[in-house]
Amino acid sequence: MNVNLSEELKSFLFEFVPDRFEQLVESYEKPFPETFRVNTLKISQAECLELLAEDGIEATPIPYTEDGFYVKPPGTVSTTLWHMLGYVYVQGPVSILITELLDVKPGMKVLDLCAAPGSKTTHIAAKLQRRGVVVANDVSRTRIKALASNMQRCGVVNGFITLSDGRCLGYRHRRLFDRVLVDAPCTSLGIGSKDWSVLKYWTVRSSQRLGRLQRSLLLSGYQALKPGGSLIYSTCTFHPFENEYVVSALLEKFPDAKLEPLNIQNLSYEKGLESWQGVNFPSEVTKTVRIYPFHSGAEGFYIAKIIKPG
Amino acid sequence: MKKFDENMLKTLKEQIRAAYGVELETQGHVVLQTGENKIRFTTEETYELALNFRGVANIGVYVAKSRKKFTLITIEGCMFTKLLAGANLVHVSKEQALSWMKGDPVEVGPVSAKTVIGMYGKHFLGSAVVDVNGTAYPQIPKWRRIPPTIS
Repeated sequence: MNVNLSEELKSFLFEFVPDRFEQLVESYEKPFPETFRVNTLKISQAECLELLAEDGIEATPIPYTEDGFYVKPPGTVSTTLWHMLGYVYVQGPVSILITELLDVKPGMKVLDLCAAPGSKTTHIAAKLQRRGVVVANDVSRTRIKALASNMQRCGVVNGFITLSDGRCLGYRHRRLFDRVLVDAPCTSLGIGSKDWSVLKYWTVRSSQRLGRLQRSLLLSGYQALKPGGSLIYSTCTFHPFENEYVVSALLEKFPDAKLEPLNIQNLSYEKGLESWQGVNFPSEVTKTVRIYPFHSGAEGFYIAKIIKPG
Repeated sequence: MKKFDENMLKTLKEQIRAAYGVELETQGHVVLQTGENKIRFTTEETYELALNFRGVANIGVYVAKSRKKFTLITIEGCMFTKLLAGANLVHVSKEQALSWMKGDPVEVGPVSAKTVIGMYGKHFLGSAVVDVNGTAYPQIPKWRRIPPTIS
């Protein structure tokens, strides 16, 4: 069975990545590797790897993350005793990288604005080492169930979940958080190999519509940030409407906001665009990065790190 | 969400000690009574911050649940306990631990207590109710069980 792209997606990708189109479609046809991180709130990394090795599971470090591992043979970790006890968390490699880029330190107050199902929230909690607070917000009551289960399984004591519209939350709690993560809902083109239907039904309009939501979420997240704090804006999609346009809107509204250049070791990636279809973005936007599935061998993501001057 | 006072805390600790022969260590944590008689632990800083937020759905970690006949203790709850001499522990094999985490009954032999904490090596498996025949019924929530293998 071959991957089926919508006509609009085909024409967008032909225009957007003309020389990498085939490579991208090929990567959609491959399943993601199984990767995980050790939940250091419950067990040390060395001890956990030993337990997995006893079960015949080989863990190889992901070269561009600090905490991530590839699993061999794949598909074996998620049904182990250790997974159910909350020692391991199955998570995509780029998703692991995003929390690492947020640079969370123990004692900080951290907001995860669109938190469900909690992969990044529980990673943030591990980075906090039970000091400080992680606030996990999501707008969906259904998705919050998975978030609550994962926070429980990982033993997150210093965190709470709020069921709230992320577009308003930041305005109610201005300048409160040292770190904010806005991992916004998106059209998911970067994880198309998990669910081909997103490729089949993608339209430019869906990117435009989500772009408006993402803009509101990012502005809200920025409001919640303390002066001197930093924010990561990420999406698992490629279209500039959901990425460069959103970051540009923030820079337009808050001209003093700065983008921090991201330097990711052992991973190829592309810089944010300078312009798209005749629209020029602020030069700061080129400090953002776009990771394609053929770069990471897994998910594709767009990542921007924004600093609020203190 | 109601914060435990001294008396409530004392009662809870006594219930846990009577049921499992372990000491619940609450120092440095705020203990909260939430919906469905669930008892949760969090930090003072987290609790104080949560009071300023609307729509708090969940806070901290779920450690125990008061039931009519006994108090259930969760896997995470076990991590906040100090084992006392004569604690109601049952040490299980790897196969039994896997059955335990599937929610299946596990033969643990005759024990003097009705409620026990399961351990595999030094890993806590949460609590179980034991019947007169020595069969333990692990109190593992459905979402946390190892899925049955499809043959």
